[in-house]
Parts: sequence; C-alpha cells; structure tokens
Amino acid sequence: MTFRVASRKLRRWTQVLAMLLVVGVVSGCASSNSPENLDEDEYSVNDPFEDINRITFEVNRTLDGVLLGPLAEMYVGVVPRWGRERVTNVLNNLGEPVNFANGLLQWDLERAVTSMLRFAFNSTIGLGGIFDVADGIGLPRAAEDFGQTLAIWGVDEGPYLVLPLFGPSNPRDAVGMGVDWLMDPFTRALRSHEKYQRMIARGIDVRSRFIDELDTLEETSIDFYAAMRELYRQHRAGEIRNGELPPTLPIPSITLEDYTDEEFDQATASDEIE
Amino acid sequence: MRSLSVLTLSAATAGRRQGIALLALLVFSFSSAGVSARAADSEASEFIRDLGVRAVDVLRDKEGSTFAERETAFRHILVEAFHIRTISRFVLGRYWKSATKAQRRAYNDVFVDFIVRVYASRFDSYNGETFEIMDTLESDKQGDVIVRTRILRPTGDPPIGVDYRVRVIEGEYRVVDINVEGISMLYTHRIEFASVINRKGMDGFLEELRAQVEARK
Repeated sequence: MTFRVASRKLRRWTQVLAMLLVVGVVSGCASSNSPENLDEDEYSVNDPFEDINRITFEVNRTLDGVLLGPLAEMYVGVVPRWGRERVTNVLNNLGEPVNFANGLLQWDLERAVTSMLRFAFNSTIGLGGIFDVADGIGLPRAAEDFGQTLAIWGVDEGPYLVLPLFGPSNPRDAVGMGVDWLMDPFTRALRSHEKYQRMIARGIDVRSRFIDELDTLEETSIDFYAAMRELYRQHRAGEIRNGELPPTLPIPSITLEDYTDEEFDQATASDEIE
Repeated sequence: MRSLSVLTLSAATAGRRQGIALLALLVFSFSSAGVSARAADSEASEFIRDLGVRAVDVLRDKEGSTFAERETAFRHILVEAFHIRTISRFVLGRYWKSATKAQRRAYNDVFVDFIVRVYASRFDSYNGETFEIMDTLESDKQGDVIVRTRILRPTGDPPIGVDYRVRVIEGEYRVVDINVEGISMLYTHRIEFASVINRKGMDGFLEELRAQVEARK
C-alpha cells in the first residue's frame, strides 16, 4: 500500500517536472525577443501568440456572452448578497489547503500559518466555511497559488496566453493551475461530478463579482483584448507582491519647453466647457 | 435640566469652533510650510484629501445635478489636479515622436474628452463610498510622493486600494498616475493605445478615440 502511494506520488512529481520543463523551454524562447520590439522604457508586452490569443479571446467572450455571463446575472438576480457571500466563503475555505501549501513552498511562514489557522477556525466555528470568522480576528485571506510560487522561485511569466474557457494566463500560471489542481486534497477527496460542480460554482461565483467591472471595461476600452491583457499582467504582479506597493516605473515630466507649438494647453482644456 | 442642556450645547459649539480654528490653523500652516520632506508629504496628502473630498461631493450629488453637470465638474477636477500634459504624452509613448503635427493636435484635442468619458461612465455605480488616506511614501523615482488611500464600501465589500502618484510640476502639486489595487492606469492606457496604433495606425487610433467620445454623447 505504501509502495502504491509512493509510486503514485512519484508519478505526480514526474508530471510536475515535465510541466516545469515545458515552462522553462517556453519562457526561454520568449526572452529571446528582438530588442526592436521593446519600448524605450523597457516596459513591453510579451505576446508573440497575439493572433491566436485574440481568436481564443473572442471564443471565450462568445461563450461568456451566452453561458457564463447570463448564469452569473441570474445567480445575482436570484440569490441575495448575503447568500452569495456565504457561497464565496465556502469556496474560499475549500481553497485554504492550497493557499497553505503554496505559502509553505514560498517559505512565507506567516501567510502559510494564516491559511492553516483560517482553515481550522472557519471549518469549525465558521460552520464549514460559511462564515469567515478568521477575518474578524485579524486573519485575512492570504491567497497563494502555484503560479505565484513559481514566480517567487524566479520563473518568468513568459508569453501571454489566452486559454480556452479559463481565459487570460501565461505558461507559468497555466502550469501553476495544473499543479494546484494536483496538490489540492479536495481533488482527491471529492467524486468527479463534485469536482466539476465545484469548478462551475467557482466560475459563477467569480464571474458574478465582476459583472459591472467587465461590462464597463468592455464598453470604455478601445481595445478590450489589450486592456484585459494588461490588467491581467499587472493584477498577477500585484498578487505575487502580496499587495505591496509596486515598483515605481519612470514617468518623465513633460514641461512647456518640449514641443511647444502643438503642446497640450491645460488651461484651454478647462475653459472649453465653460 | 434646561440649563444643563444649554451648557452642553454651548460647550459643544465652543468645541466645534475650537476645532474649526484648529483646522484653519492647520490649513494655514500647510500652505506656508517649508520644503522639508515631512512637510512635503503632508502637503501632498492634504492635496489628495482635497481632491478626494471634491470628487466625492460631485458623485454624491446625484439628485441635485444632471449627469452632464457632474461630468463638467469632474472635468474641472481632472484638469486642475492632474498633469494632463505629462499624462497624455506618456500614454502615447514612443508614438508621439512619429506622429505628425496634425495628428498631435488631433490627439491633444480628444484626449481629455476621452478620459472624461471613460471615467464618467462609472459615475452611476457610486453607492455611498468614502475614502481614507492611509499614508504617504517617498518614491525613489523623480522625487514623487505616493499617497496611499482606500475606498471604503458601505456594502461591506473589502476596501479598494488606490495610490496617487503626486509630483510637483511648475510649482504645483499634480497627480501623474493612479494605481488601483496595484494596477497603474497610466501604463494600462499606454499599452492599450500602443496596441490600437500597431493594428490600425495613428489615424485609425485617433478615430477610435473620437468614436468612444461620440458613443457616449
């Protein structure tokens, strides 16, 4: 029996290693980007698969328009806020073991212990995660996934990818998602239809919390794909920093001396409307 | 009984008056503050507090004003508190250099309209949110000051972190970037603009900006 467990573990680890190898190769290719494509501030977009990504993005948008979006709106319409918060809490609670494991792998003991305590409190006093009692006693959720762990270990995000169904990602985060799925004890504990139910519930739960935001972004952006890509990249960078202040990127001041003749006139812009 | 209540009332007004006097003193001392880093920090955060109060006032006045009036008020705040010249140029990035004079002029003409339209479209989602200033940090870049704030939501949802990057330009405090939950608005617009210019050319991009402004009129 122990042998069987060990061999299963070994098999899993070879899977993980194989995937890590793939990321390494892919991100290796990506870093050989030609310098002409880089912006003067060295802040550029790594999106060599843009054409195919845009197609996948459109397919996802269509699917979202006919399926996930309407489901999320129905869910918000039928279930009151209180109920939806309980659902979010239960789903978050099921994610705590993965948060804990990744906290540990990042050697961020404070966040690992936080996740462990949260799971202990919320599963018991919080009635199976329905109530986030831990948050009330100063243990806020410390979400960590294997994509973030890989980033802490120094793996580059690599080229931007839009995955079918899952949406914005990159090789690092895609592998991370797979590894999280494998290391999640609930993946093993739940029966297969329960796993899918959980996944669908998670999808609707997350989507329902971003209905207005996504609508506004789609409406006001002149390139929804590019806006989404940039939001995803900066959002992930923020998660990896655990919400710390981002490094300040240079923003050169434009004073009146530059390009005076066609310069933007601040005063005129204000007067225009009077 | 009555005298007691009068007494507490007068005590309360006296307290308030004292408070106002103190506030006036504070405001006065801020405006005449020296150039030390500390004073610069508190000036910057006072500048953002003022900006935030004005913005919330505009948003809160849903019944007393039309959407167009609120949009106009928002435009005033934007142009007065933000350094539009730096922002508009930065957002266009290297494409400014390759643009013709006519294109630059067209861009300058539409930029503020575009920004006003984008952000004014979010007015109606205002739901009694307030803000608080967390702290102020010196940035290592260009002597900027980062004023960290939080938007508090009455619904009980977690607060939203908003960082203002403030810079003294030509003797005045000006916002040069807003960071929402770690996402720089400036860099996001810059990347989006670059993507459109790459695909549709400068004139196509300007057309897109105008179309966005028109779509919401």
